[in-house]
Amino acid sequence: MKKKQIIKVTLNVSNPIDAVIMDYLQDKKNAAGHLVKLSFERLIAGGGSQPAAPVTAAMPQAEQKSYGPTIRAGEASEVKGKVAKLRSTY
Amino acid sequence: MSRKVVAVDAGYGDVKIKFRDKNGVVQDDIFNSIVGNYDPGISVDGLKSEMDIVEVDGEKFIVGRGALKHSSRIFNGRDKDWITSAAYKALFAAGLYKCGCNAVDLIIMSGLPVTFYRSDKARLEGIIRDLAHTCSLKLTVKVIPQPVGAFFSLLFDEEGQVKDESLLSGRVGVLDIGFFTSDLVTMDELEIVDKQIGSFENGVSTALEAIIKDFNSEFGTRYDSHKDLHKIESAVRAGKIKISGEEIDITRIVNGRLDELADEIKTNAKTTWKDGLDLDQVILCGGGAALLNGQLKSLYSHARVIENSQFANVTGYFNFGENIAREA
Repeated sequence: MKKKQIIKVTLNVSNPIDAVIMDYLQDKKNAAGHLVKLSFERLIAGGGSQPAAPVTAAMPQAEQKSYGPTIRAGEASEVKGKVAKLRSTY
Repeated sequence: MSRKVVAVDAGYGDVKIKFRDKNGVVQDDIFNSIVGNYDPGISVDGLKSEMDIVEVDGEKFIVGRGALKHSSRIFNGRDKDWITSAAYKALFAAGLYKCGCNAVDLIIMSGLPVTFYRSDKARLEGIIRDLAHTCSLKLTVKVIPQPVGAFFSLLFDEEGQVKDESLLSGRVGVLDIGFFTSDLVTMDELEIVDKQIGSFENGVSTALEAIIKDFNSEFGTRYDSHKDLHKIESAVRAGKIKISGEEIDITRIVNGRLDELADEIKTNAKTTWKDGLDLDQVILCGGGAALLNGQLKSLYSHARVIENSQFANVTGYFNFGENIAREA
């Protein structure tokens, strides 16, 4: 059985790129499932280092949604072709 | 992978934005396209002033209405090179900031007036990339012609799915009545008809400038046709204005000037679309469409003002962005 790995990361949430990295690490955690446990501490701007709630609790709902097939049955391929052309146009 | 779509419609009059909040709910917002210089000035402890301050190319700007109160210089533009100005970048950056645009995989959608589209698309995409390069690990930028955004708002829902398949093969005229200009395109089977692209110098500001002159002459006010446009626009939409503490009904003056503007726009539209019989639909969008709703009823029997017309373009950018995100 693989051992659980705990990684502690301190990020400055007022820095945009840190927020992106936090998001990225969260993705990695989701991909790795139970084998990796990530724990985050947020450095609150101006307020010193304070432990924050686990990032999992703050994960936006929308960013977890899956992007499934777009087209209904029936004239699916024709519609799909037209929309694909639209995407390539712009 | 976390992916986020944000849409910014930086118009001459207002900046409109659309995005999903942290709960996945689609939100929109709007602020005036006013940019002023930032001067720290005197601050008083305990008094917090509401200002949106943005730093672009090492210079700080105040964006939105706060600039009128706190800036000594207001930057404005309505020409083709407006998109390369620091003021435009400040407006766009403020829009991105308000969207909360940080994401691992970020898709930014925006638009350009139809007449500048082909010449400036790559330039605007580059400007947006420069502004947003620290916001994501993977950045996609798409710029589409502004009125096509309104068309996309009818074609796609906010999940990016096709919601009206009749538009895929239809011929649709779009008239986008903006602040300084009005744009017109025809979409035929999802393609822009090159011969039916138009942009003319009649927008909401045309009527506002005339209304300002009327006010100054009738009420002895000293409104400035450059600086006070947004203030007068609010009054026009409300149908009243406060002068010396007294609220005055302005519908008589306003309706006369809006009639004139609507007549000019109808003439321009009919020059391109003639009797409009070959169009399946004519949709009117932009902030001016809602304002001129009553006056534009006689344009064509099948013309209609799109719901929430001021946000139609940005809604289309967003919905199309969601479609791109689904298929990426």
